[in-house]
Parts: sequence; C-alpha cells; structure tokens
Amino acid sequence: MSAPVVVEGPVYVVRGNVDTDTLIKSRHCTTTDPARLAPHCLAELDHPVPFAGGGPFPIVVCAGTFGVGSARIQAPLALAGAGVRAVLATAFAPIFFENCINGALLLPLCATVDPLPDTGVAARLQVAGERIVLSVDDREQTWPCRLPDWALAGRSWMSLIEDAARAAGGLDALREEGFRG
Amino acid sequence: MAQTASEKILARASGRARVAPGDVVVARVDRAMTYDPYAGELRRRFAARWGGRARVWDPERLVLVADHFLDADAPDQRALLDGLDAFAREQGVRHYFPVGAPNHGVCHAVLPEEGLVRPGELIAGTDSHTCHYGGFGAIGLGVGLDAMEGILAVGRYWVEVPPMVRIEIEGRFATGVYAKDVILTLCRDLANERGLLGTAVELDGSAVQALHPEEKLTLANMAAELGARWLLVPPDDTVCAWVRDLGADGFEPQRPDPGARYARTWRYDACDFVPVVARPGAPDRVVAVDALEPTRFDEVYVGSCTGAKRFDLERFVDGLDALGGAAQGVRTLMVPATRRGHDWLLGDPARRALLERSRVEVAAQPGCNACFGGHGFLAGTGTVRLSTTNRNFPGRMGAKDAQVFLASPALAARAAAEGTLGP
Repeated sequence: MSAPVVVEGPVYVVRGNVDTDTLIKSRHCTTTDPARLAPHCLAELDHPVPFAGGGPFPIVVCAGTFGVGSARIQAPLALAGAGVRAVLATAFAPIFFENCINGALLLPLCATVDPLPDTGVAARLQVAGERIVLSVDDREQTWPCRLPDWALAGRSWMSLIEDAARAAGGLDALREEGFRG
Repeated sequence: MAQTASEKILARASGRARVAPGDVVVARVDRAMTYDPYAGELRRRFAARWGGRARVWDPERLVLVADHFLDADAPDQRALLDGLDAFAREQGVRHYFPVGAPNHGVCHAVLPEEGLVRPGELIAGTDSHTCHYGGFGAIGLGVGLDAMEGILAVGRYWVEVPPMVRIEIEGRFATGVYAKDVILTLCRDLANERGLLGTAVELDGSAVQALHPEEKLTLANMAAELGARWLLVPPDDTVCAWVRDLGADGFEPQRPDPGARYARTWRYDACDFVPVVARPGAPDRVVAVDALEPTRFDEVYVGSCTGAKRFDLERFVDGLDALGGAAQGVRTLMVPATRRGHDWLLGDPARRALLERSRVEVAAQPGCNACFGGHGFLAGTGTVRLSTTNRNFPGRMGAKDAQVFLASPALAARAAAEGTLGP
C-alpha cells in the first residue's frame, strides 16, 4: 500500500455539474503548458469568488458531475497548474477522470460532500489505502476510495509502460511480449 | 455464458474468453485516431521518451486528422497543423487527412466515410465524441493525451469494463423525428444519471435499427452528452453492407447474445419521441418544439460530426427547399463535416442556386469550426442561434451570453425558413 496522501488548504466549492468548456475554453487549448492555462481556469464560472485570482485552492469540492464534455487534457492541466491537487465530486465524467490519473495530475475522488463547506474554508484531505477523509472545522467525513493502486501511489500511466519497457529490454521487446499493465 | 456486444469486443481485444463489468483489462486497440490539437505534443513526447528514431506501434492502424484548429493565419493554430504534418510524415502514416486531401474534415465524419470504422472493432480516439463509431457497431473509446501516448507506444490501453446497460426503442418513428430528436430526448431523461454515467450502452430495437446508418452515428455521437463511456448500436446487415461498400472487409460484427445481462434496461416506444430542441446551457435542457416558447433566431448553424454529415446536409437542404428558402434576417451558416459533403453540397447547380437565394454562407474548409469555439463562425454576443451540433455549454460556440439551441437538421431548415420555432 502506498503512503497516505495529505492535502491541506482552502477549498473551492462549486454546486452543479462542471463542464470542460467552463474549466478551460477551447481558444486557450493550443498549449499544454499548465502555467499558461492556469489563469484561464474556471475564469467564466458564475461564482462569487474568482478561482484564478482568489486561490490557490488545493482542494475543489463539487456537488455534481465534474469534467463533463470534452476529452481536452487542458482541463486537468489547468487545474493542476492553478495548484489543485484533488477534486472531490459526486461523480466524474469518465475521460476527465482518466486524464487526471493517467498523467498523475491530480486526484479525482468520488465523494458526496454534505454539508458543503464555504469556499475559502481551510480543509484537510487524507487519502490512505481505500479511505478518503475530509476534515473541515473539526468535522470529519469519509468515503471509500476507488483509485487504481498506481494512481494512489502517484504513478502516471506512461511511467508504468516505461518501467515495463525497461524490464523487457526496450520498447520493441515490450511490444513483442505485449504490455499487460 | 451470454455476453453483450461490448463484452465480446473487449474480450477479444484483451485476449480473454470473456470479461465482466468491473474487470480491469489492458486492451489492444484495432485503430487509434488523433488530430491537430495533440499530434505535435504527442510527437514531442514520443521522441523525448523513446528517441527521435522510434516508430509508433503500427502506423497502419493510426489515423491522423486536421479538423479543430484550421485558422492557418493564427500562429498558434498554424504550429499545431505543422506538428501534425511532421508527425504524419515521420511516422509514415497513410491514413492522414490534412486540409487539401481528397477527403478531410471532422475526424468522426471522415473515418466512417473512409471505411475506417468497422463493426466489432475497438477504436480509441483523443476526443470525447469518439463514441460516434458505435453507430457502426464498434466501440469508440474516447481517451486523453496520456492514454494516446501509451497507445502509440504499445498499442494498448487500460479499460475498466463498465456496467452494461441497454436502451430499446420499438415501433416506428413518426415522420419528422430524426436521430437527433431521439438522442436529445434520451439526454433529457438520462444524461449523467447515476445509472447511466460511465456505462456501456447498447441502443437497439426495431425503431433504432430502421434508421439510416449515418443516423446511427448521430445517436452514438451524443453518448458523450448522455455521460456514457460509449454507446453501441448492434450492427445489422444494412450497416455491415454499408461498411463493405466502402471497401472494408474482414471484420467480425458483434451482436449481444440472447440472455446477455444488463445492469439496467430502459424501454421506449417510438411514439414517445417528437421533434425537440435543447435550450441554451446544456444538451439535456430539452423541450418538444411544439412546447417551446416562440423563439426568433438570428442565426442557424449547420455543422459538426453530429449534424453535418451527408445525410444531415440532405435533410437541411431538402427542408429549406420545401419551405421556400431562408427567411429575411436569418443568417444561415453551413460547415459540411467533410470535403465529400462539401463537394456534394456545392456540386449541383440547383442546390447552389437555393443556397445563394437563401444567402447561405458555406465555410471554405470542412472541420470543427465553431462547434467547439476554436475559430470560424463563432456566435457573437447576445446572438440567438439554432445549431445542429452536440453541445451548448455557455460560451462554447463563442460569446458567453450567446443563446445556442440544439436541434436536428430538419428543424434547422424550419428555423432558417421561418425565422422562428415554437407555436
């Protein structure tokens, strides 16, 4: 089992589904540089607290489905560039979820947070083994964690392939034997 | 034991006798598709990781398309197109569709036209509407950039076998009801529902199977808006013959076994469906067109893989012709999804005359254009637009306060001809 992941800092709270056009508009998607994407992240969200100017917010909490829409890698890259390390949401759009863990960009955690804290409140998130614990104002909520082991360990999908290629004696050899994860 | 069509495809792709929901498999893809937004970055990453001389796992199985950022006058978009071109050249990719090729345009419209979508196959693409290929009985697996980087290296990707669900529509759709009405209505009922989010949908039944093959692509396309991982219409003889006519052969269509198990089944009667529009903001804000408050449109946009394939262009043009052309004060914009569609549209003098009489503006290049907001016919501030595309999240097609309604090409023709929809 990997070491627990702990994230501490103010939360940013969104109600309702969050689509990828809201996360980052397409006109900014000609780059994959997180630093260039971050200022535009959630820039047009109707929210009393600006995300880009008011943060960093290492934990985002969403009462809804997060990452609905496009496969654009810039959505999790922009969040990661803005300092987000975990998103807790009722549910995730599948491709957004996979983008987050494949690139080891941030932790997408299925969790219905109730009651919802206010944006800006300090929180502590711990992800250890099969348990997610969120502490806000001495109140603790827990959920089961369903991330692959490699994602929990902070590994990217490509790092697994690279390791396998090394073990096989190169990429061609790995192709020959067939990568099995 | 009985299996669904999706389970059979995944079992073959992962070298197993069978798979079940919850299994995590590493599946071999039959084909991979990526495009200008990512090709340059993938080229850079691939060379950095494996060396400048490294070849992708199988250039014959890779498809590269220029469709999203086609404004060659914008330096950042030009750079993406250059990156795509360099990657195609270095890797010797034969299935490369740049601007200017005999056929090119929106990836999801190009692949089926070119016989590159074959029933029973697993096709991964770096786009959320890759699910489109389910219309021809393939698994269209939308993936991200890192997933594609892995596929370029080893031809494989991890898949957690999703819950299997089924939607059946029996009967016969009324005249004027098209695939877009069907899938928008399903979005109204089921989009991002807990029982449907992330699932593999099989959409079947006599009403569905009676639809034109390209209409089945429209249904599968908007699996993304439903929130499904993918959607597959079990391929019938018509679809298989359609694909064979495009030169594809040697494929193995997969249909669900009798008694295949589904976590959930929704049953509809074809009579449950009427022409609908989605109100601005999200594709599930759906209302019957007859119940829509009277709405005047400034613009009608016919475009995208969802709504500007050949079948869609025909419905729009026929509708416009039957209703006497476009009304004064409505700006009508057309972006055929592919070069073939574009050439068909403008290749007939009578059609051209109708478009000219209606002051229809036809984009010079087929492609994604304003559907994803990259360039082209973007919606200006305050504009009320009816669009045949798949998404209308705020600001997606242009200005944040543009009001974008979604509908079928047939309703788009009505909106163009009458200037309004609703009673």
